Amino acid sequence: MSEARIDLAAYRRNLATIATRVAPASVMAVVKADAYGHGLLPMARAALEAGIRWFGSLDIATGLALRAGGVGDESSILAWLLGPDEDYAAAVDAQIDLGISTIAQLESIAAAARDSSARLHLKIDTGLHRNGSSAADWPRLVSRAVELSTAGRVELVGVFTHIAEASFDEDSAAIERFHEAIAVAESLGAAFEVRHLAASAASFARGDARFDLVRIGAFGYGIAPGDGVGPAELGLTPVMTLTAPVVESIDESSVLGIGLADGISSAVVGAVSVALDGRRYKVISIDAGTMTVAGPGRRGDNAVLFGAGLRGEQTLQEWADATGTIGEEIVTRLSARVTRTYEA
Amino acid sequence: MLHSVRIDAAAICANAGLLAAAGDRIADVSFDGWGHGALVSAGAALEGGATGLAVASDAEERQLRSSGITAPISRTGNGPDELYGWVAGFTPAMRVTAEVVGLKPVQPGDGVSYGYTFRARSRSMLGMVGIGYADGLDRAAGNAGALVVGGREMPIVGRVAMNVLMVDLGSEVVPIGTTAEVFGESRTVSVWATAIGRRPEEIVLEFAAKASRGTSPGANTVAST
Repeated sequence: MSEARIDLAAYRRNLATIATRVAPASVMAVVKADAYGHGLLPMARAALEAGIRWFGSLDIATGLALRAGGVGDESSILAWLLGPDEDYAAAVDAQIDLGISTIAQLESIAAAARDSSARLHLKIDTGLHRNGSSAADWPRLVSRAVELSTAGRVELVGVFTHIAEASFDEDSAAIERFHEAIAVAESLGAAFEVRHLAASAASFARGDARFDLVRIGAFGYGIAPGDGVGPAELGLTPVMTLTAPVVESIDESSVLGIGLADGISSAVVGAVSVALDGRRYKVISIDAGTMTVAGPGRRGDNAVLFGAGLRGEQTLQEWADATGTIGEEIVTRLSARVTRTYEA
Repeated sequence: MLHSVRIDAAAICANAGLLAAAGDRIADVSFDGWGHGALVSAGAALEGGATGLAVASDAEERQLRSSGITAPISRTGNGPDELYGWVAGFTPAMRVTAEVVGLKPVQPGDGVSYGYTFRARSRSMLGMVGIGYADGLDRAAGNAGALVVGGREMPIVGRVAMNVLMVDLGSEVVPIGTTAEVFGESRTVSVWATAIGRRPEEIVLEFAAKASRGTSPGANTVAST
């Protein structure tokens, strides 16, 4: 069986390293997409042990799964990708913070809030052009939120944005627009507990991006941004090591029991290597259930596809660079055929 | 639902009928019916005219047997492309769609998504669509693929993010909740695969894996007949 070994100690250590780096800002552990393929609840529990009290769930369903899985009221959970027909009542009852961009969302949520008020984070678009209110619509959104807050229907918790990480200057411009939006909101009577803008890379690189809270996905899992910057340069350890058994040995090549159905992309062919007994061999073909590498192996040997580099294997970063993508895509693709095992 | 992966067993049944008429009576239901569900696929193929099944492992064979399948099961089939409608001339058995969850007007020069790899050349309306690479939609589709919205191909602009992507709707303003199709009705998965430089089987397997694992909570998988 193919196996993803998850080093929970490395995850906790990475979070602690990041927390020190960004203090006094707090750290939100982003656990969307099944904690980037690492497994939602084990990672959330490890984050709790590391002292994390903010979780980024992306959507309401994941937020509810976190609450049911033991992330209690002492922790805040933020969901910010909301569809047109969400069950806001369930989210409000479970005290899931909701990140909203439009008046329509605001009104739906206020209408759904029954016994407790809805906890909201208002989102401004500072240039990424995905969601987030435009600067033109912002005063109307804020004013209505303040009105509903005064009426006790909603609670204004946060203000936030996403930045493009396109260049230093463009990110500076986005940070400036964020400051302007906050000033506008405050002039309209809004008060926020937390202001947040930065994800992993910006939180590490720039103090002026940190505000009160940073949203940490990739770096927690030891996934670096690439372009020559690996996890080691950042003081981070890769959390996942992917292995697969040799199922057949043909002449000088080995067939591994992992393939497209496990979530490996065909882009690996000719591009990456795996380690067998400490030596690296190129991947020469892949099909649904297996991949073949250009080196000798014995049936039952375990090949290391990527990991921390301790057994001669490439790192996730090297796989990403070689296949024209980012580490996040490789780990989130892995399917349930890959067994996740955890080292405390 | 932000996106859905829908399985149409009747399509597998019809495709199996065409294949049987051409003399191919072994239906390949390996890898959980290539993501369509082993039992659903086996049942539909046998109903449509297949007389035997092909699987990739003993475990898959045992699963079919324990579910009451009595047809002959072998280890070699003729591949999945036609049975599941990945190629023209057959009916697609999987349809992947996502919802437009937001609209965003852009002006010339505006950058879009991470790294600003796309910049608007003219005034346009972008649609934010609730599907991304963690849901099975390859990141390679950024600035390369297109989704079908209202019968027209709308290009994916900027990088595909983990759970969302942007399409350029041009001068169209569509309602929130409008369906954007990746493949399965207006075109086959092969068309999509060619556009983004991947293989049909990995695309289908990946969408199926994400939908059924429940790691993509915005998704549902629906088998219909």
